[in-house]
Amino acid sequence: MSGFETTVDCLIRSENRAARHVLGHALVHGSPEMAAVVAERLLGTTRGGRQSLLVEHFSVLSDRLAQCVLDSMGRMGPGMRWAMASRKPQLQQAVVRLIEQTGDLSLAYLVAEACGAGDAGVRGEAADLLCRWSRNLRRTEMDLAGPIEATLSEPAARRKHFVQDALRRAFALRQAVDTPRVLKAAAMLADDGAHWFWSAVTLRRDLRRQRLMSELSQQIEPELFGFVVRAMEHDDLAADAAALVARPLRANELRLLLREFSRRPRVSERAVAHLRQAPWLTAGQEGIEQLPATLLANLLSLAARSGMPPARLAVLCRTVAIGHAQDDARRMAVDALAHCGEAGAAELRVVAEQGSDLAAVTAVVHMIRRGQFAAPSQGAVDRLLSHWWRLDPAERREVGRALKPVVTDRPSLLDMHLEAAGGTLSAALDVIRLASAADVFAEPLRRLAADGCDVRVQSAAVALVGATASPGAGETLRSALAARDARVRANAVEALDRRHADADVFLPLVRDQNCRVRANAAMALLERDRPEGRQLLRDMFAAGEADRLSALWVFSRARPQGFAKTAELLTRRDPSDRVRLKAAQLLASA
Amino acid sequence: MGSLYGVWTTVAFLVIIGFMVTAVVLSRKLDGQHHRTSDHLWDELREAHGLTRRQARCLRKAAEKAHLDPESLIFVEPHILQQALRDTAADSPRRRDLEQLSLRLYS
Repeated sequence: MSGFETTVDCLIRSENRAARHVLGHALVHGSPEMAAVVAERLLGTTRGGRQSLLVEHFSVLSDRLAQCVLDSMGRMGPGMRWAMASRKPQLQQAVVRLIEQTGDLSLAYLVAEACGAGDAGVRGEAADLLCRWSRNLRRTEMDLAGPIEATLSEPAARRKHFVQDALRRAFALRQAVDTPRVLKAAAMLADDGAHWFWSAVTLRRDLRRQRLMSELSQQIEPELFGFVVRAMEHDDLAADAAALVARPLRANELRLLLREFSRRPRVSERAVAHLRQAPWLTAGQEGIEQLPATLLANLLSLAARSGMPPARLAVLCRTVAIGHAQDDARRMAVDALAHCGEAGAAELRVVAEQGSDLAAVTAVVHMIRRGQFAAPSQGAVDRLLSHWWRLDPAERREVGRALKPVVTDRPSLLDMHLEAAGGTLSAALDVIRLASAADVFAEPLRRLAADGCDVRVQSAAVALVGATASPGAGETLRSALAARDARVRANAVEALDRRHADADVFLPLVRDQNCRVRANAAMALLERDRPEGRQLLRDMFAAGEADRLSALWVFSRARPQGFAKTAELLTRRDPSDRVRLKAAQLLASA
Repeated sequence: MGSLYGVWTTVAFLVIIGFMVTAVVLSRKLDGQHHRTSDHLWDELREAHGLTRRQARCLRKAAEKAHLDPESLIFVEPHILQQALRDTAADSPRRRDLEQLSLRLYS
C-alpha cells in the first residue's frame, strides 16, 4: 500500500472531526491522482459520514471523478443516507441533485425523505423531481394500449414501483398537504393497488384530498386523466372527479381522456351521469370527427350512458355520421342514432339525404326498419344501390323485402340502374330478386338475359326471367341454354325446370361439358320421370370428383329410386375425402 | 417547621451550585477536546505511517511554517515538504529525514 493510501485510510477510519476536513481538502484541492485515490477509497467505505464527502463536493469534482461516482451509485448508499439524515440543507440538496443526475429510480426513497426536510428549498426540489418522474412514467403508460397492469413491461413496472413507494412515504408526511406536486404525482401513479392513496382521497374531510382537488380544478394535465377515470369508480369521489373534466377539451386531450375511459370499462352509469353536461360530449367539440373508431365508440357509449337528452345525443350522432373521416365510425354513429328513439327520426333522414356513403345507406336501413322509407327520393335509392354490396346479407334481404311496394309502385326508381353498365346493375337485380318484383321489370330483364356482355349480370337476369309470367320468357330462356357461360346455362335450365318446360328441352344438355348444367338437367329429367335422367345420374356417379359431388346433390334433392346403395358405397369407398364427407352428410340428414 | 424549610432551601441551593459547576467543567473539557482534535489526528496519522518522533517533529515544523490549519493537512500537501526540502542544505541529516518522509507519505 502506498503512503498516500495509508493516509487516506487512516483519515477514513478516524473518528476525529478534523479528518473529514482533511479528506475534503484532498478531494477538492488535491492533485488529480490524489483526488482519484480519495474518491476510490471513499467509494469503498461503508462509513456514511466520510462517503458523504463525495455527495457534498460532487459539483466541483472533475468530469472523470464525477462520472466514476455516477457509475458507482450502487456503492454510494451509506453516504447518501448519511447526507440525507444530516439535516444540512446543502447536503440534502446535493443528494437530490445527484439522484436526479443519475436517474436511478431505486433511490427514490431518499427523495421521499427529502420531501420531509426542514428546508423549503430541499422539499421543493424533491417534490419537483418526484413529479417529473411520475409524469414521465405516466406518459409511458399512456402510450400503451389496453389495461396498464397487463401491458406494462417488467422494467417499467419496477421503476414505477420505486417511485410509487417513494410517493407513499411522501404522501404520508405532514408536509404533503403543502406540497401539491407530491399530491399530483401520487394521483398520476395511483393504481388499484395504491390503497394508501385511495383510502385518503375518498375521505371528504382529508386535507390532502381537498388540496389536490382544489389544485386540479384550476388546471388539470392530461397525465391526470387516468386518475380522473379511476376516481369515478369511487362513489365518494365520482362527482368531484367528473367536475374536473367538465370543461372544453382540445382534440388531443379528448383523445387521451377517451383512451383512459377505454382502459376502464367498469365506470358505473351513476358515475357517468356526472358527465352529462360535459362540453366535450356535444356536437361542437373539436376533434370528434378525427377520433379513431374505437375511441369514438367510447365517446358515444359515454354520451348514451350519461343519460343526456335524446335530442342532444341524436345531434351528436348525426354530426359524426356525416362528418367523420372513417367509414366504420360513421356507420357506428348511425347505429347509435337509431337508438335515439323519436329524436333520431329526423336526424336519420338528414344522414340518408346528406350522407354520401355507407352511413347514408345504413341510415336507409334503419329508416326502413322504422317504416320511414315509404317514399324515398331517387338520390336515396341511388346511394343505397351504390353501396348495396357493403350491407351484410341479412340487411340486404331485409331491405330488399321492404322495398317491394316501393319498386312495384315506382319502377322508374331502378330504370337508370338497369340501363347502366356500372356496379349498380347487379345491385338492382338483387333488389328485384329480393323484392320478388321480376314481373314489373320483365322487359329489361329479358334484354339483359339475352345480352352476353357481363355473365354475372346475364346469369342473374336469366334466373329472374324464370320467375316472370311474361309470355316471351320461355323463348329467352331457351336461347340462354346455348350461352357460352356455364352459369347462364345452369340458371336457364333451373328456370325452365321451374316453369315446367317440356323434357325434350333438357335432352341436349345431357352432354354438356359442365357438371352443374348436367346436374340441373338430370334433376329436370328425373322429375319428369325420363330414363335419360337416371342414365345421366349413373354416368355422373361413375365420373370424376366434381361429377360425383354434383350427382350427390341431385340425389339429395330428387331422391330417385335405386341410388341409395351407390351413395352409401361412396361414403366408404370413394377415394376423395370431399365426396365421402358429402355422401355421409347426405345420408345422415336423409 | 421553619428550620426544616431552611435545610431544604440550603440543599436545593447546593444542588443548583453543583450542577452549574459540573456544566462549566464539562464545557471546558469539551472545549479542550475540540482544541486537541487536530493533535489527536496528528497522532493517528503518525502511528499509521509508523513515523519516529523525530520525523514527526520535523514534519510538524514544516506544517507550522506553512501555517497549515489543521497541521494534519501536511499529510495531503506534498508541495510543502518539497519546499522544505529545497530550503534545507543538501548534505544535512534533516534533509535525509525529509526525503524519507516525502517518499513514505506521498508515494
